[in-house]
Amino acid sequence: MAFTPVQPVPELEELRGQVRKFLAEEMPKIGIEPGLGMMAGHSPEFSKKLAQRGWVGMAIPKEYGGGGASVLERFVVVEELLAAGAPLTAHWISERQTAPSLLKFGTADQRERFLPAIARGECYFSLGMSEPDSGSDLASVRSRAEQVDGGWNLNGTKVWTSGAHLNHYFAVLCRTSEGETRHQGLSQLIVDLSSGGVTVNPIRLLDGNADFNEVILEDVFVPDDMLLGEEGTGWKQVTAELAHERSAPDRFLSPFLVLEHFLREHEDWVDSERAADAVGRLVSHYYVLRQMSLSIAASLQAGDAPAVEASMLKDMGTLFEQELIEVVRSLVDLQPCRGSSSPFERLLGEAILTAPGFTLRGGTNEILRTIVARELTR
Amino acid sequence: MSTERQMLSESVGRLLAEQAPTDAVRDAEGVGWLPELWQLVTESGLDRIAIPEEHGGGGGSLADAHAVLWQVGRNASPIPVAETGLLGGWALSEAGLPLPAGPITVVPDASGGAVRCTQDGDAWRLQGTGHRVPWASQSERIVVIADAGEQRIVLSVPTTEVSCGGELTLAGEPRETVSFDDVVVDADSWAEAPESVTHDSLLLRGALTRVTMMGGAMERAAEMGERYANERHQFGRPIAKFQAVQHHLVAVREEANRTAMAGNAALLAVEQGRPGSEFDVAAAKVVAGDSTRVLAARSHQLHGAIGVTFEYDLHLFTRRLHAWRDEYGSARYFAQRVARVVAEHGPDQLWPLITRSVAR
Repeated sequence: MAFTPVQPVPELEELRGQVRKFLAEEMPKIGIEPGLGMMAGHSPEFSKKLAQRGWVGMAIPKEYGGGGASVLERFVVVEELLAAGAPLTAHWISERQTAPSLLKFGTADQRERFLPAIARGECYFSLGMSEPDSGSDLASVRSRAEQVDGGWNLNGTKVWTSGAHLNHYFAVLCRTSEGETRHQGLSQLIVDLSSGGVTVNPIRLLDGNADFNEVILEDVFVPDDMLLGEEGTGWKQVTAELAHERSAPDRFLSPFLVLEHFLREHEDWVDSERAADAVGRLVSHYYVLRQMSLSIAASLQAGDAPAVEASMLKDMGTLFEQELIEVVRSLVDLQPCRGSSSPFERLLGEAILTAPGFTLRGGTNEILRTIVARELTR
Repeated sequence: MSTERQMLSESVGRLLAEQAPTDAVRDAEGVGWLPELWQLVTESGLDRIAIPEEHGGGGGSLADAHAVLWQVGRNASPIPVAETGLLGGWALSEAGLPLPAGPITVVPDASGGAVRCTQDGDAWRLQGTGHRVPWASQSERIVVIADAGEQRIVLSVPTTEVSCGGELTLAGEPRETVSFDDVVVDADSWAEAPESVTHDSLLLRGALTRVTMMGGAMERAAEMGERYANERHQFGRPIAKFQAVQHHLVAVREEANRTAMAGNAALLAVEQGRPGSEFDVAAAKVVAGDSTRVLAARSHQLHGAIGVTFEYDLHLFTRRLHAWRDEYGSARYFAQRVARVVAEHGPDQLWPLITRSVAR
């Protein structure tokens, strides 16, 4: 299990410089305060501007309107966006998850239809995996589609569907046949969220936001050409998707701005030995976690499948995120308020309220550890 | 890692494991080291692999030397490989002083007047105490980097000229107190220190050796835990089947990987001579120290009572980790240093610092 450091690449650093310049110019114009990680803000305007620079769907091949960029190039852009708290939520899932899935499993028509629009920053997807009775045990999904003339008749309920009220499509994992094992007979259907029979109900989270939804599917007609991949291979497809997302910088950068703004608003922090110790440790760990994430990206680029390393990184990164919030909080004597005019206090408050989700979303840490342990003790 | 370095690492690993299996390491605690193993290692030139050929070394890279050190950690080998080649021998070679054939050690911190020098013609007279000097009694020469007025000098002191003795680390390795009682060091055994040899460069090099050795020891501890969890049966099944145990296994492997990455990244920065690489080393030592806390505790917890016996091997690694984490600067010390770098950079440059990229 090798974590090899990645040599600095001048071209990547040039790209990094361009992204920073863009963010410095565009972030103030967009009128959205910097936020936390992948949920920093849903802004089609920003997504389109970013796409004009070629930084959405970078890894999509040029023939489908993407940048044909490498994994590492995309890594640099993504980490710069996250570190700046840029509002990337609109295109986040379609860019990170749906596009690679379409490339791997989609038909020529599906690629033609969706990939250029994703790369333009205009087409947004949500995830359609979890259900009220299927969380970690994803293979137990009960949504079901039956073959009808020209397509599928889909019924079921999906939950935790972030952005379903704003996005255009979601890829629904559902049962389409009975297989010998429960992992067989599942398929992914691309569902237009504006179709008849689709009802999107907001699920308010404890911070008052309603970015998550329950999506009820009642006799939704899905045309044949919206089957993603083959009938019955949905399980393989979703697990491939998950392996891709777990090592990315969003798994340790969510509360980065809490730390940065702590430094901004407490100029004398370094005079306190305790604060210096805490900041020194947090920054050291940030440096090493990022090196690990970068090395996994390099390994993906080389064509390897570092699924176990990626699962470990997500466990480590998200635990660190939660730790960071508590450590920084212990250095200040304040009562975080909603809507504070201090960016530090605002971000700290948001971080405290959203932190429980860090170790839940994208597969709970407990499930990830089970996956890793199975490999370690093979 | 290059294929060649991989092969070097594997062959060193085989040598250490065959010539000094864990039983031998355990037995060595009374004596403090394994002279026969040292003989084999030094005859193969493994102790001074990164010393230039003209100074009697192997002419290899810093990374080659660290590939050897990784195996020293992995095998808990009680021999002064780091001190002879990368620390004491390095200082002598940089200063153009001859290297003795036997083991070389170094006073880890002779700054702040701990060892005082007075000029006496061409010679220097040394007075003072060197603390926690690794394997001093077993070494042929003790290297001192000392301040002499405005000058900084490197001295090569024959061990026969000093009295040493005293402490052992938590892992039973000698870290002795060396008394320099008006020791005369003649002109052929000292030189002005080149710019590269300072108290701080020794500290940073030392810290990096410890991170690499810790990475090796952690990898071994992780492997031991994974094997044990498969072999040990309770309630009719291997304990690896219990989620609570699985979580320990994963945490241990995560920390081992974290420290390996920390060491490898810092080593690359140092080897490439990147500006500000003391940040990379400092961060690595902080992380290795923090990882030790988790890895040692959870390794022992998953092994149960057998893991705390002298007979079982786990402590050969966990005790070394507890010793090495504090040598050449503790996590606490280096966290303060990282903090000072962060403060110098300011909030705007925090992210560029973490990513080791140019200022934004």
